[in-house]
Amino acid sequence: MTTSGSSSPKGGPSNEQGYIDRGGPLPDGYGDTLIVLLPRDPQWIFAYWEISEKTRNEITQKYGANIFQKAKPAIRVYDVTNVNFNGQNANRSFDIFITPESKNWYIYVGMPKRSYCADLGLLVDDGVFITLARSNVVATPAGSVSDIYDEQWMLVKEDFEKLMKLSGIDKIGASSAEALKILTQRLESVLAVSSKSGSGVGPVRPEKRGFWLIADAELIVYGATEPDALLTVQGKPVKLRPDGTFSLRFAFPDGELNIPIKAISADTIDSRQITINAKRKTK
Amino acid sequence: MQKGYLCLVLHAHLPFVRHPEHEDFLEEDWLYEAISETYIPLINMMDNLIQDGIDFRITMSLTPPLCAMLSDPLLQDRYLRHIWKLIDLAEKENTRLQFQPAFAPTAQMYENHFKMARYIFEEKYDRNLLNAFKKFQDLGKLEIITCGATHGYLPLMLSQQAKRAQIRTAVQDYTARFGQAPRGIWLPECAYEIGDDQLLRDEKIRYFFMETHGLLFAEPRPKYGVYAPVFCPSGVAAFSRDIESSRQVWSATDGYPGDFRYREFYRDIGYDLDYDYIRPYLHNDGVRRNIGVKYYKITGKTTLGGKQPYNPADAKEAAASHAGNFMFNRQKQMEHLHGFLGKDPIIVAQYDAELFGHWWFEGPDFLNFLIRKIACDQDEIKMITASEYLKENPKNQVSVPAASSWGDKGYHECWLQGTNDWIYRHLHKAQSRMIELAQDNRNESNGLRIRALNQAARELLLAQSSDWAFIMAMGTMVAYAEKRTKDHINRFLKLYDDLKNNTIDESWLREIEYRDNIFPYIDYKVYL
Repeated sequence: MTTSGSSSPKGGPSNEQGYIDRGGPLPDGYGDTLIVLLPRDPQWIFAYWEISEKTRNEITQKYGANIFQKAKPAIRVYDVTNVNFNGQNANRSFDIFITPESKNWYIYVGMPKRSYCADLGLLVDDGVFITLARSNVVATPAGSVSDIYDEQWMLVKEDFEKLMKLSGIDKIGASSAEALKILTQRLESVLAVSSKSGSGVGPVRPEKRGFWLIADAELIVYGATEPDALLTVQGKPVKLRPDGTFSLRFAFPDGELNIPIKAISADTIDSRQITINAKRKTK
Repeated sequence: MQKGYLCLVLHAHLPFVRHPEHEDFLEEDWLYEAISETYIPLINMMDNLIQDGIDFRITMSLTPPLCAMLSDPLLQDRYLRHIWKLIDLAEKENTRLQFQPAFAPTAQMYENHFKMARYIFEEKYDRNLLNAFKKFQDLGKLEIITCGATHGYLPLMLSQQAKRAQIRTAVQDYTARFGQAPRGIWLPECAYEIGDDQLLRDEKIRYFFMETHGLLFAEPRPKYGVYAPVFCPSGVAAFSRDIESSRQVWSATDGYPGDFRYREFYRDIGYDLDYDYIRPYLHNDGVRRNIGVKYYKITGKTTLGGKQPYNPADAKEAAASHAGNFMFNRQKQMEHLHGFLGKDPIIVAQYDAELFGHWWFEGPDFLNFLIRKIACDQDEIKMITASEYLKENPKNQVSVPAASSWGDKGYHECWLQGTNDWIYRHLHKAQSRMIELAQDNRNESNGLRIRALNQAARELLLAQSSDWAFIMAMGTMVAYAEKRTKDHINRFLKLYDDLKNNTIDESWLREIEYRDNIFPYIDYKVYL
């Protein structure tokens, strides 16, 4: 569903009633000290973290009661591409200062096809970095055509660029969400254009405010006969309710409607007919 | 003379939405609408093609949650209740509109359509539409592929066991339903991370589909661009989407579904008609919503009030001419590519199945015309499945595809952004606890504990559906997506604690087994 999306964006609020255990809040934390990285795109990675009470206590015991006030919380990001990282051998690294109350961060790394690792820690005035946790390693997606040619399969460069174009490389980014977006946009454009009043099968309220009136008419034909009788309206059979009653609704445009209603008894001996003639003229 | 192959892929998926605890549940409509508007029209089309002796090939992913819902007796009953109500309404409408020549044919169309849907669902396929799809597969016309167990977004899982559980559970589910192992897979959201192909290989899956740039950015460069698959180092083939054939159908500006003659999605009698009249066909809360009966065409750049009446015959003509245009464009494209590549290109056209019928009402007509034209009017394009292609072309270049998805901007941002990034710390924690549970209880023999372990696996899988993050990002029905995420995580966390403390609450467990009844035969050891 992409899609996936289904159902109408205009579909109104979700059904909020009931549903026994009502999706209570999730835990604020799990008592872990950790930092986790996720790749987002060729330039950005995402980090979330947690520092447990236990870790906080250990750190304050070791570095002093006010260490969390004194030192700056930071994430040290390491480029560990093609490196078996041991804490010292990163290709490069940089620090991101985070706010003490934050729990996650989007980090701009700006480099596709590289591997990153990060330490969550505290940067003390004298330049010492106290590491609280080390993350997993993530790789950013390639984001562009590879420079590496397979010797056996190589094509000349111009050809490849032409092929890229044929493949629609300039249009990348079209998505599964696009259909939903298109429909939403169309709805918006529909609503943005000013309106005339509705017509036809049902009234549509003018979207532009101001004093207004809409009126239309429909015709309801109803009646009753023996429950087992055969009833036709304008020659078409109509299903009777168990008690022998019926009710039909007609759109009623200007003009004249002629509605013959005929009932025939179950044994086909008796029959009755009523014809309703209705005229409408709207001024 | 043959110039190339067309591989048509429809991804059919809905998240698992089933609420036996409620008599009437709004989000279950997603399934009922898709059944009436997409699955049944496609089934009807395929049946008619077969009856008329028209050869065709379609590939469809039927995701495990969709299969579970289509074969669920409760939802089958509820669909019947739903379609009978629509039939009742359509009959009334047909009477009401009989003197309005501009609307009468459309009213008649709905009555016929709903009655046909009821017949196909209840009588022809005995309430289970999987019977239809399986039949088409057994006839060699349709290739059904699988997907992640709950459409979990693999690149954001990090853990190999968690990814493996998604794939293995799906393969087991597919095998039980269709009597054979799946040959291919639609990666959820086409999201691929380097190395994921090895997990597919381990489950004996031979190919997968991905987004255009996943293949274009492969390393080394793919000689044929997206017009031939590559073999990943694991030996699994990666096919990728042709942008041109996608754009003609998807694009906001020049896509077919925007043609003025087609049906307007947003002008629905659920909003238009007298409240007392329409009230019995709305949900219990009485809020006006789309009902699925719409009498107007797109018309042009106008207000909803300014829409003109829909004309089914005109719309059908539009679908036929669009099918002709699509085929003509593929012929030109193949001719060009054929000369350029020196071999038959494969054009992979991938779409959400629900686009056809639900969003683009005439979409199934379009496909029907397209398939018939390809079969009867030309000999340049050959429809093919990925399996058949690989049989005919066993030698392919070896390359490593690039991380990518078919979401907005082409990577993971749609599922990892301010609206939904809070879910991952909980999902990851649940994953690692599930793996821990599987390891600590690998020799469990107590029946109640085994039930709790299996239910924990179900709750984790359900929480992982990429749909929840997607809905949060799209901004509609968000409350429901958040609630589902929290409910499944909380149920998982309780099961974890109960298993740890040996305090399993049997009646509570029975209740959630009854609600979240997907994968009845799951084995928690899939997380080992």
